[in-house]
Amino acid sequence: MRRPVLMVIGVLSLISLTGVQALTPAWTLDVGPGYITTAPVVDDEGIYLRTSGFWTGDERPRVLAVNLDGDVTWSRTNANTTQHDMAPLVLVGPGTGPCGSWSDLLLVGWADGTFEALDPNNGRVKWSVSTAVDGWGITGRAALDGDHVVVPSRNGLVRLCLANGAVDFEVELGLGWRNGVTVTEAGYWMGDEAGRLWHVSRLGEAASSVTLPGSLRHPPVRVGEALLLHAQTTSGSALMRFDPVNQTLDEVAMLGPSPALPLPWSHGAVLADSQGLTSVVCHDRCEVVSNLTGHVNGEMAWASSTVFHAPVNSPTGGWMTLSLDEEGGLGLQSPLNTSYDGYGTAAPGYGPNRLYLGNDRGVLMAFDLEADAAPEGEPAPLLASTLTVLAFVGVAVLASQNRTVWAWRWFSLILVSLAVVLLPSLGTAWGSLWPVTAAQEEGNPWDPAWPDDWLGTQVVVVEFEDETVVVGGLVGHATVLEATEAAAEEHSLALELEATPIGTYLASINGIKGSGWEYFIDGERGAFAVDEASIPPTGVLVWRLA
Amino acid sequence: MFQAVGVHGPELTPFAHSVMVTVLVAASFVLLMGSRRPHPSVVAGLGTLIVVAAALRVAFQPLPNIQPVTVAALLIGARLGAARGAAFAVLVALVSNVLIGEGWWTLFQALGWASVAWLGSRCTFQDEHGFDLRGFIRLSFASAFVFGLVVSFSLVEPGMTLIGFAQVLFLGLPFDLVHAVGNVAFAAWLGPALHRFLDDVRTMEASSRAVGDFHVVHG
Repeated sequence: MRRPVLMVIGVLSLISLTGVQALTPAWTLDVGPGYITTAPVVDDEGIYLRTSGFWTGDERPRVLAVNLDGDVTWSRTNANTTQHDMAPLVLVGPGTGPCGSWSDLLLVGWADGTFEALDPNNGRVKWSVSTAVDGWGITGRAALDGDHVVVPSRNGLVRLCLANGAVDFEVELGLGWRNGVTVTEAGYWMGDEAGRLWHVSRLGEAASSVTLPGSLRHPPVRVGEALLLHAQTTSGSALMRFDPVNQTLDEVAMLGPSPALPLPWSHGAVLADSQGLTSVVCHDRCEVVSNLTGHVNGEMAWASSTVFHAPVNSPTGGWMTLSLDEEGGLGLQSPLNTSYDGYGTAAPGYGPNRLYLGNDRGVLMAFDLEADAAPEGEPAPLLASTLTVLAFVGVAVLASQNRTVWAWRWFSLILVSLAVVLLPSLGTAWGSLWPVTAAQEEGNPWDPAWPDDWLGTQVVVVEFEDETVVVGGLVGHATVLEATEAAAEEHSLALELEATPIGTYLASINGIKGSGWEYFIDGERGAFAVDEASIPPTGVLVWRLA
Repeated sequence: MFQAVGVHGPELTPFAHSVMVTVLVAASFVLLMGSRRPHPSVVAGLGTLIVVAAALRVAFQPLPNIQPVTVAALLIGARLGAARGAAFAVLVALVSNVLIGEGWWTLFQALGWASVAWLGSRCTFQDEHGFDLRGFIRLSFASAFVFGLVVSFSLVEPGMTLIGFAQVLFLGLPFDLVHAVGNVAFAAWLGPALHRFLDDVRTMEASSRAVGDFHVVHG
């Protein structure tokens, strides 16, 4: 009886292991320091991408061009940016309009408020415009409108001539974060952190049309005559349909926390958040059609008319490959896994028979695709997979020879190895299953005395015995460590970090160790190492002496 | 994870720390002496196991929650009794934490392994063929959760609700699971040898007592 059981387990494990696809890149390029948080942009000449991060030392973010062989052809660093650069790059072909003519342009919005048009061939600045900065500047996607580009600034919207960067008009709206612009026949739509949806006419007349119960951190999605809006609330997100004609706002669904940028499609949109993906079909009204579990907080992109990719924002995340049928049904296909899997928010870039991937590890990876075929996977890392498979085969052979004790011994060793390797992701996934209790909701440490500007941002509180330090208005920090370091930088706090085999721990703040420091995210005690623990885009992180 | 890193609970003053160590050493002495004085073979055997277990614990420290001590405490409890198993637990916790890090948690780790030793003392791990390896592996797996439960009490703090404690236990389950899987491996690999060693210790003690009794009767 034992032998068959062992054999079945061995075979099943073998199947599950070989079912994991990991791609082998044609080349890789470490573009760090910094993350790749927005999709690489690809044309016939090469790939354009940007790095992002919260910069406290001498390093700064850059935009760079890479040729098809993986060599950097030019690189442009912005010495003034210290906050996360989340604005996607926009590549514009040559054109002519009433305001002038332009050649190829690479449009770059920076977190220091600068909006630049670069020559994609050499990275030289063709024109540059400064926009408002309040903590940070441009973080959303600019939109093209004829011979103009419409730029979401920190506190409003700026329309520029593509030919020379001349400012057409500039309007002040609400403070924003990652809030791109959507262009319609009636003008421009944009949301803000306070949940207000703004309409700006092509003459520069602005009007607030409706207020949603959360922050709008994406370009509104056009669904027929209406707009689909995914607002980030304090504990989740609200999906709403807004009818500009009748000025009606309808709730479509309440979804998970930290929404991703929606992916529009012909009949509606695909939404994603920390709990999963949701497809919505919109006609006279919008309805949720399909759901899948996942953890997606960044960009998604179409690989074909029916298949799209979504970056998984987890310690072991790769990219989900998903299908969407005509009725809006979501389907899960083989994921894309690489040797550099980890936290990620950037969608892939697609070139002729090439797929380009990048994530928080800061490595650009190029993968060759067979023409008209999905990416072929092969087991990797090859050595680890081969050893594991051989180990299982060895266990099966021992079991077949009736050496059951030895089979169990080797099997238990394999299990220990897998358990240790999988523990970080298992712990994170398990921790997210604990429901937020009413007491914890009530325990949300938001202080009404804090500035309203901090709403919708990350706030870090350090409780010393004799004083409390509060730093708010932080954005884009993915982990407790990042947010804490940002707060420490802003308030000149000295952190002493301790590397342990299971992650980084905060040993002291300003030399104070006490019995150790504990952290709480929105009132909930943290259970993981600070570099492993993710922090929501909106929330309060409290450090307290144990 | 807090358990693994061991940075939690009240900070002990030097005096409190001395008191804790003294109490633990005294407790282990009382447990070891028990109702009758142990034979030198038991003392030597336990001493050897304490050193080996502490060294293994330090060696496996880089791996999260892989704890060789649990399996040893379980089998010592089964073969030498709960009191000697508990004494082993207390002394291993004290000795290994000298290198890993001492604090409030030492008390709970000692209690956790002592609980496992007591659990082992409820079993013999003997079947008609001798050592019941399967039964030992099963209980080794379960004992990780017993240890996890006991050590989690070190995280209780003033004002913590029952739900808060339940959350601590819930979040610790993946780490307990890794502990349990590690126990299975230690039990499968080291169980038979450890069982033989402990049986030898028992035999030596039993035979020396028999000789002693003989001398008493005939001397």
